Amino acid sequence: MRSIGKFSPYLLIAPSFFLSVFVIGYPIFDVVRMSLFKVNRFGKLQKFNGFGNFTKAFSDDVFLQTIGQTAIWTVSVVGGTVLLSIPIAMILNEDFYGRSVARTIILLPWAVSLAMTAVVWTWVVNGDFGTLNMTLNSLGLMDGNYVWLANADAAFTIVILIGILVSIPFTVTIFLGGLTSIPDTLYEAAMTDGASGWKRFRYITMPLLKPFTQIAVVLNVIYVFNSFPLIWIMTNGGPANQTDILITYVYKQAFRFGKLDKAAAGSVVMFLMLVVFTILYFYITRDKHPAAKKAKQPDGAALEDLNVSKA
Amino acid sequence: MSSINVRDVAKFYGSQQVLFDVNVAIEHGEFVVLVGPSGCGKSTLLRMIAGLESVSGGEIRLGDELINDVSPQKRDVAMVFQTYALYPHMTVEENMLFALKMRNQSPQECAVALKQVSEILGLGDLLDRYPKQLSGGQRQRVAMGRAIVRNPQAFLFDEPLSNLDAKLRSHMRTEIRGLHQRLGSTSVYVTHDQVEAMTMADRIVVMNGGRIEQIGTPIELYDNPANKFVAGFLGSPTMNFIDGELRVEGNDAAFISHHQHEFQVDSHANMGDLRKRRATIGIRPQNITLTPVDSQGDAMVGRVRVVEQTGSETISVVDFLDTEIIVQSPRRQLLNPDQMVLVEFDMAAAHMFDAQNGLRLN
Ligand SMILES: Nc1ncnc2c1ncn2[C@@H]1O[C@H](COP(=O)(O)OP(=O)(O)OP(=O)(O)O)[C@@H](O)[C@H]1O
Ligand SMILES: [Mg+2]
Repeated sequence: MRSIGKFSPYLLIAPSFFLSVFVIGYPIFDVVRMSLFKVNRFGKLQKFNGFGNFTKAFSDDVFLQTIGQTAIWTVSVVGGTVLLSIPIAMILNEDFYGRSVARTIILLPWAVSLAMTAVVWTWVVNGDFGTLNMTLNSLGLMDGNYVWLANADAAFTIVILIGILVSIPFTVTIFLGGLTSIPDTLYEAAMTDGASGWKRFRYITMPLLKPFTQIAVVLNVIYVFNSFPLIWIMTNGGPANQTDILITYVYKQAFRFGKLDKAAAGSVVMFLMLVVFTILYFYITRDKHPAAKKAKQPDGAALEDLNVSKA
Repeated sequence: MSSINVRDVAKFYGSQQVLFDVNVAIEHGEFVVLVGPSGCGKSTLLRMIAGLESVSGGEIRLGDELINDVSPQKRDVAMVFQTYALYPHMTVEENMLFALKMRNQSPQECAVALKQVSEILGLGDLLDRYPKQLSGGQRQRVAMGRAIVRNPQAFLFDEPLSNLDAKLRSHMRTEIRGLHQRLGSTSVYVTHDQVEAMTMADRIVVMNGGRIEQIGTPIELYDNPANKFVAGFLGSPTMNFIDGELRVEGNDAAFISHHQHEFQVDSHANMGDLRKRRATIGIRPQNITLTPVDSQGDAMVGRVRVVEQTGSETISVVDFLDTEIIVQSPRRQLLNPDQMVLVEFDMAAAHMFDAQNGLRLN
């Protein structure tokens, strides 16, 4: 019975473990394999190509430009989202009349599919009949219509802003969880210790939210970096590839130009970028007080310490 | 150090009033304990002094300054919380110096204060630890250290010992008292433990249902409780009460229990001229003696139900006059359950309370 008892946990998780390995691992394996072979447009592997696909990708100016744009996109959307979500979460954590309504409103965009949001916003910023032009005109801030998405800078700014908007609900939820985990008495103690509102934020809220900020940043980076529908629907990467990010670039290479091998190489690069980012990020923001993780001292030691102190 | 003056203070939560006409004058350097049953408003009053709750009526002064509307960070009072409220992301040292840092004190001043306080509390070896690496007792003293290091106008304690085991609690009791003697700091200490109140206080404030029942030194309250509530609240085991009727005729007074047993009582001015009134006699377990007897005839005979020996003293529960009384004998008395005993009250030590309003009549 003993030996069964020892192995049964592994035995029990084995089916789901192998299913996960298959479902998650196989596509990764397949993409990596594709990136090392020449592949025809129907997905058939032809001959081993070493790093040829990678050199091809990196010698494509559009690919390099897209890497830069992906960085701008990810940093702006995640940065903007985190910076806005902390104050929003703090407000929603206060006790005020109508708080649950406000919480629902903030979380509402989450309930709408990203594609739908993108379509609606495309209409809003439409050059001919969009409500944005209409509003600006009737406020007298603008004369005539402007085709927002035809200008690369305007288009990129707009998708970034909408990217922030749709990332806020999830991020606010993370921070609300974090804020709820900070006991009120800490703030009361800080108040009696003489800390002003700003100092309480700086010395209590910020450090205690740190693990939640880490999670919010990493999850949002992974999500935003790979976020396809917004840009695809609103700008299709245009004008002139100037709003393309890696995911839309790879998609175009694969399904518009039929270059599955180059697309696979691009995907592998993306995957590596995310892995490297995540490792680096957790390394940089790691807990610098390893002592804090040491085992807790048993309570029995308390009385001995008391006696020492009297000496 | 400052005095604290609480005058006519009231507190409402919405339309619900939880404090009524609270008046306490705490003198400079005094150690005052607020005690009362759960929900009587002790914490609320303490938090109002700290500035963590608004004052709905009346005034609170720290020294001469009216502090009703002064924000907590500007009141120079330190509070020790029941849960300690140590900052989990800071070391013991950072926790203790936080208040000084908030007041922009120089590193030299901080170092001096830290050294002094960690010596007083014996925290020297723990300065680099985080709160979660400390035992309950150690956390408790860090919380104390955090309060002491600032040298505030007053200390406020909200049940600081209730999370400790009995042994550590009694140890910390002495230690807090010792600290107070050493620092001479004005302190307000909240507890619902009457032993803590009796042993630690210069003066005790007994609260009940949002009102102050009585204020006085532990001995005053023990010997001369203003009413039945205070009498029953302080002292351990609690006072025995027997309901009945008080008859006063001139200088003669007698208490007749429901069982028609008569106790002679010294008459007292407070008893008034009323010939008869419903009253309650109160007598502490220490003021009753038991003598084993054989017969059952006398009304003053009771039946022992439970006997607890602590080694040096004997605590017995006795069925007597239809109620149950607790008797504490200061020596080892060998009694058996179901044994018949003669019950004698030391009437000089007995208290008489009005059955209606609970006020003491003698
Ligand atoms: N935020 C609040 N809103 C409404 N009522 C409250 C609030 N805080 C406390 N009360 C009420 O005020 C009364 C006094 O509470 P308080 O916390 O001061 O009691 P306490 O004497 O400290 O009791 P304990 O010994 O249990 O700590 C209680 O009846 C409580 O229900
Ligand atoms: Mg309380």
